[in-house]
Parts: sequence; structure tokens; C-alpha cells
Amino acid sequence: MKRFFNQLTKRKTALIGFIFLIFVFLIASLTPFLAPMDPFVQNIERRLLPPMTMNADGFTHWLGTDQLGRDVLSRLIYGSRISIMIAAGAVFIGGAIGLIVGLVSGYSGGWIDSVFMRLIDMQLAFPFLLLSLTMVSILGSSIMNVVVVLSLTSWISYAKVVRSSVLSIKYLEFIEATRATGTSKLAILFRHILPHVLSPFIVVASFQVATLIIAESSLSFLGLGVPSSEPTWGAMLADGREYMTDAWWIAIYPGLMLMLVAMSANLFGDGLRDVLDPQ
Amino acid sequence: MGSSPLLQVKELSVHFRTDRGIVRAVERASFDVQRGETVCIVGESGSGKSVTSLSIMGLLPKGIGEIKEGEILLNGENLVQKTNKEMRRLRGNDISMIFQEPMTSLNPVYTIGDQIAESFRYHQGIGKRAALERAIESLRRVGIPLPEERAFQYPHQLSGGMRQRVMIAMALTCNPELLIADEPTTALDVTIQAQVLEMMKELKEAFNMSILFITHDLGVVADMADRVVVMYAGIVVEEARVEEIFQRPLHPYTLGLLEAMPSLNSRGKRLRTIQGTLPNPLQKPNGCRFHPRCPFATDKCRLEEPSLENVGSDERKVACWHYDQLEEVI
Repeated sequence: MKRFFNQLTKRKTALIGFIFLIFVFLIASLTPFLAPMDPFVQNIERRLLPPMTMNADGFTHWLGTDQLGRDVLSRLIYGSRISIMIAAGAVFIGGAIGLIVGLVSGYSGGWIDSVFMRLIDMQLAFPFLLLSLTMVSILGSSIMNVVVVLSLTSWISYAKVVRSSVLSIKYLEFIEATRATGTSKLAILFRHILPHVLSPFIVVASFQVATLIIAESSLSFLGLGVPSSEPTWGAMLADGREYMTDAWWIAIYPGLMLMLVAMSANLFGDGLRDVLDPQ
Repeated sequence: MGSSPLLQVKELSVHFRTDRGIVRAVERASFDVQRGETVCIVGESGSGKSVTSLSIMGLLPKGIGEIKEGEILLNGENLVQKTNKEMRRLRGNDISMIFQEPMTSLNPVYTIGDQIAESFRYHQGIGKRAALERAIESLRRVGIPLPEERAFQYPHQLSGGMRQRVMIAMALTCNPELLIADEPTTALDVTIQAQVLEMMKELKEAFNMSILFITHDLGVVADMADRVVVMYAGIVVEEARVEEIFQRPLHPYTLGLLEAMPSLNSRGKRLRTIQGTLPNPLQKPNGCRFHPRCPFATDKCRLEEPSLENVGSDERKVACWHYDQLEEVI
């Protein structure tokens, strides 16, 4: 563990990514204390104020206000909570499904493997957005449903990676040797194969964080994600689009945050891959 | 020998399905292993010796390798008819196996103590701490110095010889009656090899177990075996007590193997080789399998396949039309 962190900190880009993710995570967990204003309070008189304007109460809107006079900084901070929550939830659920499917499919082979792989092929044939849109319109839009939809669209990435690493491990001699001592299939799978597939799994998960945050925003941007009362980066981006020419700050800041978070997750993922999979 | 043998392999045929046809890896192989006896199976790569051992363990690759015919009797019970679950209980308890490559036969993510303890916990249902103590005890038994420390090390911290000792300790956790050793010393250098063999002999006495030793190294055979089974291209071609194999081989293939072995007397001379290579497993020659490479081959050998016949005693068997000629040559 110590060696792992030493190696990771040697890779500067990965470290920067990691620190930024931690930073966003902290913001998301401390929203009520950090947000300078209530993100839901509307004030038509103070609509579309540019960044750094001080309002009549002597309060500075550091990032300006939106078309309904809500403080952009506060909404941005609240939005981080939803983005992180949804990404984490979807990584957790999708990852669990993918891990189990990959393990079982790779180890047992035969028809079980074929069924899962064809299922994955089928799902890959649908564009991600089309699939999510269909599912959200059936399930209705709520935070939980978005998590479910994103999990169901993302499990295949884990399943494929886990399956292929299981395939590369299951014929190694030490697995044969554990079989020769009479160990049961489940014990072999979870005690002896699982630890070897965790590294590629973690790497995929870190990349998925970026993909899922973007995916959640895409859904919110299209008005099909989280209910519109909740501030999310995607929805802010969608709102701001109409005012792009007069009030650029409404759309730019959430867009910037999305880009930075996704980039950090990718940089961190790259670093993780280098450390965990030395080749 | 008297009482019934521990292991009897009767007319065993194993087929492998491949894209290019069916490979008859083992055909009608028969031999047995008595209690407390070491039997060596000798043969080139591809002669079917490893497949035979995997069949006994019930570890043939599923869907590809298949026991077509024959029986494998352990204490009179037919292993071929056992279910997966029954075989799993048998493996490790009654039969154990050690593998060729000690470098890759241990799981790199667990300490060796953990790995041995797992076997104890699985088969004897004892607690974690007790199992670890037993593991340390068994490490001491296979001659690993400072077992209390070694038990907490990972496989990469041990040398090849040490790892093979660990493998043996693991195989012996439940006092198996039969230990199958698939070229356990091939990957080790000669001094370590001698140590490991010596230790196996001692353990065999201590545990009163039988060893089925698979090797292509006749030096190891001379050192370990009570009896020898020679395999060529999937069939048993000769079976004899170890002294007889070395003094009076009856099959030309066995003779070829012996002549290809360097000895102190043959110093400075070129070693003899067996001409040619193993036949393509998909298209084995008609008649005697060995005839394309055999210096004694006649038309009869090209057409008719000899079966494994007793010569003199029950313990002496050969599958050759002209074994009597061979006696004259030597």
C-alpha cells in the first residue's frame, strides 16, 4: 500500500488528478457549509448579474447569477453533490454487476459465457444515449433511476475487462494446483482469481467515473436526468445555453467543472493503470 | 506383492477433441501401483504420460479431453464414474498432485503459510490459527529452514527448490495415499533436484504412501522407481522392475532412451539418439507405433500392432514383436 502511493505520487499528472478529485469530493460532502447562498432562492431583480458583482445586500456573487437570479457558485457547489453521488452510485452498482458477470462468464465458459457475451454485443449495438433515454422515459426521472440507468449501461465495460483477465489467469498452473488440492469452484473463483482481476477492474472504474459524470450531465442537459428542480451541472449547462451571448458565465462554469473532473478522473486512471499493471 | 493394488489403471483411453480431428492421447493404457510403491512413467513429451496423470486426478480439460474407455480404480473404486463433487473430496485427501513448475504453481498474492493452511481448513475443517500452525509444521517437515518466518513470505521470496518443497508440503496436508508427481524436478537444478528427491523418498516412507512419478529423466527413474512404465505415442510399450529396465530393456524404444542417456563410460563419445520424431498425434502410423523409428522394424511391425504381453513373470510386460531379438543384441 505504501509502495503503491509512493509510485502514484511520482506520476505528477496522476497526483494532480487525484488531488482534484479529492477536492471535488470534499466540496460535494460539505455543500451546506460551503455554499454562500441558498441555490434555490430566485430573485428576478438580480438576474443575469456578471461574476464578481456585489448585490444590494453587500453580498458578492463571485460567479454571477443565472436567468432567475440564483447564485451560480452556490448552484455549482450543490451540483457537484449530485454529479458525484450519481457517478459513485453507478460505479458501485454497475461495477458489482460487471465484476460478477465477468468472473462467472470467464471462469465457467460454455453456454453461460456465450449468453452473457451475446447480451453484451446486443447492448453495444445500441447507442448509449438512445438506450438511456428509453430507460429513463420508461422509469421516470429521479436520482435513483438515473443511477440505475447508468449502472445498466456501464456494467458491460467491467464485465468485458474482468472476463478477459479471468481467461488469462484460469489456465495458469497455480489455479490447476489449487484444483488438485480439491478446492471448490467458488473458492477458486473468489479467493484465487478475484485478487488478480482487481487491478484492471479498479482502472476501468476510475475511467468510468469520468464517463458517468459526463453521461449524467448529458441526460440532465436533455432534461431527462435528475428532476429539473435539483441543480446539476448538466442542467445548468442546458439552462445557460440560451443565454450564451449575454451571460456566458451561466454555462461556462459548469462546463469547466465537468471538463476538469472528467480530465482528473482520466489522469488518475492513467496513473493507476501504470502503477497497477507494470509492463 | 500380494494384496490388491492401490491404483489400477485398466485399458484407459483418453481422447482430445481438436479443430483438426480427434487426438488419441492415451490408448488402452494399463498399469497398477501397489501400496508403498513408486512407479515411474517414462516417455518423451507428448507420449501421454501427463494426460494419464490428469485423468487419474479427474482434471482433464472439460469439453476437450475425455476418458473414452477404461477404468481407474483407487482402492477398488472406479474414479471414472465419480461425480465432480466426489472427485473434489478425493483430490487432496486421497490423491494429491505436484506440478512441474514450482515457479508458477503457487498463487503470488497469498503467503505460503496461507496457501497451505487453506488446504488444511478445507479438508479438515479446522480453525484459522490451528491451520496455520499445522502449515508451519508441514513446512518444517519438508525441510524448510525457519518455517515460522517462511510461512509469512510470498512465493516470489522463495527459490525454486523452496517452492517445490512448499508444493510438496501442500500436497501432503491430508496424508494422501497416492502422490502424483508430474516432472517435479525438471525445473530445478541438479543439486536441488537430488535434495528434493531424497526428501520425497523419506516422506514416502514416513507417510507410507505410493508415488506415481512422471518424468523423462532416466537418472531420476533409477533413483526413485520400484517399477517403470514406458509410454510411447499414447500406449504403454514396456513395464518392468527398475533393475530390469536398465539391465535388460526389451522394447527398442526403451533401449533407445537408455542409449541416449550420458553415462561415465560413454565419456568423449557422441551420444546415440533415437532417429526421427514422435508421430503426428492425428495420424499415428499403422502397425507398431514405433516402427518408423525402429532399427529392428520388419514388415510385420508395419502392419500389425503388438499388444502388451507378459514376458516371463507378471511384472514384465512388453509390446513388441521382436523383443527376443533385442535380447540378443545386448
